[in-house]
Amino acid sequence: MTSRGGRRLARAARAERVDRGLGIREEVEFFGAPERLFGCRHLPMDGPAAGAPLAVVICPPVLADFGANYQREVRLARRLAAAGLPVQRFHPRGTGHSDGDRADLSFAALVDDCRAAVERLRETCGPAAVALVGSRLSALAAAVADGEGGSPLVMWDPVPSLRSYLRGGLRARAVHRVGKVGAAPEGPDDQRARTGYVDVLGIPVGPALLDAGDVPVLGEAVAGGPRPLLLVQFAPGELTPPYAAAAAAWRERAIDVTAAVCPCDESWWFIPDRRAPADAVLDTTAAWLAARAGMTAA
Amino acid sequence: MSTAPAVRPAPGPPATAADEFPAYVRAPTGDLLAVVTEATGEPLGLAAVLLRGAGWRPSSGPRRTQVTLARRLAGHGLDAVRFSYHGLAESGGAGEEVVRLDRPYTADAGAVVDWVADQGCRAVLIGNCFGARTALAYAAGPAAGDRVAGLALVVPPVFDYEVARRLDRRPLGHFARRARPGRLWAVLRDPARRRALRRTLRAFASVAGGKLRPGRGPAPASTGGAAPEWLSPRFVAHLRAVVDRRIPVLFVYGRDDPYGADFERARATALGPLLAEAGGLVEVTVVPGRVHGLTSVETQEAMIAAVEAWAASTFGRRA
Repeated sequence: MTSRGGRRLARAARAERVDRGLGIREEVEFFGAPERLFGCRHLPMDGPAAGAPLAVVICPPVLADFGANYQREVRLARRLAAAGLPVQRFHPRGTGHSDGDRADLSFAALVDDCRAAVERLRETCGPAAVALVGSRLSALAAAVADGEGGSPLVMWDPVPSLRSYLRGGLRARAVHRVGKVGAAPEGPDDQRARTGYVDVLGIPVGPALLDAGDVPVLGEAVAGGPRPLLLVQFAPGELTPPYAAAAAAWRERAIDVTAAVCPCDESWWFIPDRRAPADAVLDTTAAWLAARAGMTAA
Repeated sequence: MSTAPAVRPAPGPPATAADEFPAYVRAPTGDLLAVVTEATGEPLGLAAVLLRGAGWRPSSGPRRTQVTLARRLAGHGLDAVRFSYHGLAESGGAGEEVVRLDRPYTADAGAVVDWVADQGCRAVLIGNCFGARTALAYAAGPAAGDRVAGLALVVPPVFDYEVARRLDRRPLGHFARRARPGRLWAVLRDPARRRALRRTLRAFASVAGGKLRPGRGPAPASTGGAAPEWLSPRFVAHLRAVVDRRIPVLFVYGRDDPYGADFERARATALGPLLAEAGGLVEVTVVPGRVHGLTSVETQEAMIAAVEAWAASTFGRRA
């Protein structure tokens, strides 16, 4: 920041906050190059927890889901840090405070950013193992980012496939436009031809995501082998057919699947006007991760 | 009232994250996480302080517009600070379940303006919806002193209902969804939400009364009659105070914004003389679409261009 006299002040590379009530520290910074990612590490008060048995990277969802899930992710991170687990959160490129154009968002970049966040957490905390928590489309990205790593994986309301995810977005777009008086009924194809992107509720979705052909479906996104996986469904009732099918496919490949239904009043594509309840999601996830680390959730 | 003028080319390039750094700002309400953008054009000694609307979202939004605006204003020589309110995102403190327009977060705004002043800069407050009302309330108050150089108020409501509780514009399906037994039980168990429900029911009764007895409702805009009953006296008093302080003000509404229609109705009555007195000090820009919620990329661009053009013409160096 520069005063009128031209004095440029020294800037700290990262900002820190101590929350004595929760018993945690938080470090906020930009990291990575050439494009920089916004990140926040949530740490136990007593130090960087070098050599912690387990640390966690939270991979945020994108497009409209990013804001909808934000506070839930912050609450999870603080809760895990209070229980002794270091947590790294970040904003993917083209999202939030990070660099990158919104319309350039791609699944491959999302996977790369998940890996960059894991790397940053390893550099700073050196944990024995890293678990990944991904929501919606980023649940698939987190699974692909870990590959054969066998890390504990948590999937919050994952999308069954990129296609179904984009279909949902286009449906929401259509519903939103129905309510507009006098709005030009421009279809997604016409808009894309005119602008190069499709405007989904105020977010430009470009060809890098619209035309991505290499995104695995849910049942195939997780590499086989002995890894623990927690699938959390936000909708009430029985496990939905896509989730039941994915869980069955994973179990066939020796993946240790725990499926949990945590009803959560979340409308995803549409913006609610207050915080969606999430206590069951947080309780279930924190307890599961703490058990993986051999600890007790706070 | 005007549509947005063309933006004067910025002397510097738009900023990127390489020109930004995070900082915690100590406030009475908690430590607030701010992201600071440094000017890439010749510095003006001004910092845009961006205040977003209510809701559970980080300071990058709505729809990432605060990031885009901060980085573009940097090219015009303004530093920028976007921050999360207390209890939200990476900020500390405890947030409120219900956000009310008659209780703006002036303590948060004041802490950030003080921080900016400590860096040797005056603040240009740019607020959206609830953030606009917070910016206006802070700038009108005694703590602001001469620290505020300008105000850009994007789609500010001119009434004092709780944010997003303008009942007469909600579809019935919205209320049906909210009336589910589980949700009602959750509301009844929580004292803050019980109080909010009582206010909602009172507002419902008031709206219903106005519809049944239209003669008691606000005067039609064309008559230039009395102030609409829903016009916030606080809003008028705050605007009066900033006009008296000769602080430049920009209003931005969308052509399809109900809040913009409210503003026009108020302007045709009680606000009219005040705006006339302010003359060129207060600008009103209307852009296509609906600014509240910013659910269209083209409207976002138009809003950002309107603020950028105003900032460049009001504070930019003259050639």
